[in-house]
Amino acid sequence: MKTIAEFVKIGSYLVIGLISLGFLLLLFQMGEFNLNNLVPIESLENLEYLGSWIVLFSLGLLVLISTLRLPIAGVIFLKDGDLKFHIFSMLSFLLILASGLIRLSM
Amino acid sequence: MVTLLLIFLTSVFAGFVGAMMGVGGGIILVPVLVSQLDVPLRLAVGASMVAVVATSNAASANYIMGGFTNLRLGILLAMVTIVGAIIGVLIGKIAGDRLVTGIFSIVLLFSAWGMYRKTKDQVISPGSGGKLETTLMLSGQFTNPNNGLIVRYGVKNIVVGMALMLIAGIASGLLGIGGGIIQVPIMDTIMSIPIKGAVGTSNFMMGLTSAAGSLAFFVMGEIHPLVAGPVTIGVFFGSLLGSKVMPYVKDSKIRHIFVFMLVILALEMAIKTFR
Repeated sequence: MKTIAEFVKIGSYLVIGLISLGFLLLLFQMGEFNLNNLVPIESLENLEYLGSWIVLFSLGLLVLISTLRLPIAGVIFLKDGDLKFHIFSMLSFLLILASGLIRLSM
Repeated sequence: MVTLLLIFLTSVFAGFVGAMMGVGGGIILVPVLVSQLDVPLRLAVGASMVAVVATSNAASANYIMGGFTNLRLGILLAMVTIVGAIIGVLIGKIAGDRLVTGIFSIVLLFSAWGMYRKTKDQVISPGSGGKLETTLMLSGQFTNPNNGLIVRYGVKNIVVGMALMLIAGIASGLLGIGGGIIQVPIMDTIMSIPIKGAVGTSNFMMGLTSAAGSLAFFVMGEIHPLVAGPVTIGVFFGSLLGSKVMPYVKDSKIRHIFVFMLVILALEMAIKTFR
């Protein structure tokens, strides 16, 4: 279990560092922090600043780290000979992927 | 720059409260972002979804190390909440917003009443929760830093708890929330898990349920770097602090704050229903 905690901790710190760097770069590129007329990003071509790319990529990594806790737990359970929870962990991981795909297809 | 500072401080506070209560913090974040900072609702909810993941990541490391997360129970229940979230998304396509918010406002009020009546943890001993608890080895233990005592607990009403977790998952899928606000009361009142164990386990679970949800927000372009960036950084540090403080807070205080949050959210949903 310590492995999961360490993985999440180190991974998240690195990602938060990346987000901070990206956000600072974004502020530097924009020259000001302005929330006026904010709209959803219709196309990735609208992301004109490198800082935006770094922030979005890092946020994606953060979500990935959270999800990867399941297969890591699954491997640990398998090593401990706990087949039931290995299957539960992997099944939950697959369900997350399925849930993501369902939402995307709607 | 004042706006940026306000977003950051609100996020730190939301992360702090979220990690202490086993919820995502969206209850605090979304209203402030929308009403005070004029952030469009869709972008505020998108930022809130990533914030739930950040809260879960930041706090779960501390909670797993401290033994507050019951990993086996968390994985078992997460399976159900993820299925619930999928159902929730599908229901959302059919049911009207008013019906959904109306039902959840009632569910939240019942949860609040259940938690309010329960003045302290009613822990059952490991192994006394039934055959399923023993077979799946779901009992847990942690050291309560308040008194240095080791709390060993069993888990009862597992099947009922799992069925109710489906509702938490459906709420998550329907409303774009982490689901912790429903998960914690179920674990606390129905499954007899100590409140600190419930908070730690819920924290682990909600990151998983929200991960799939946030993917859709990414694709729809509703996670904006200018909003989600500072929110995630703030929430992360707030959660780190919250997860360090939670073990030292009295159980009754956690329960009282939780009841307060449930009532506020129930009222907010009731207003949305009748407006």
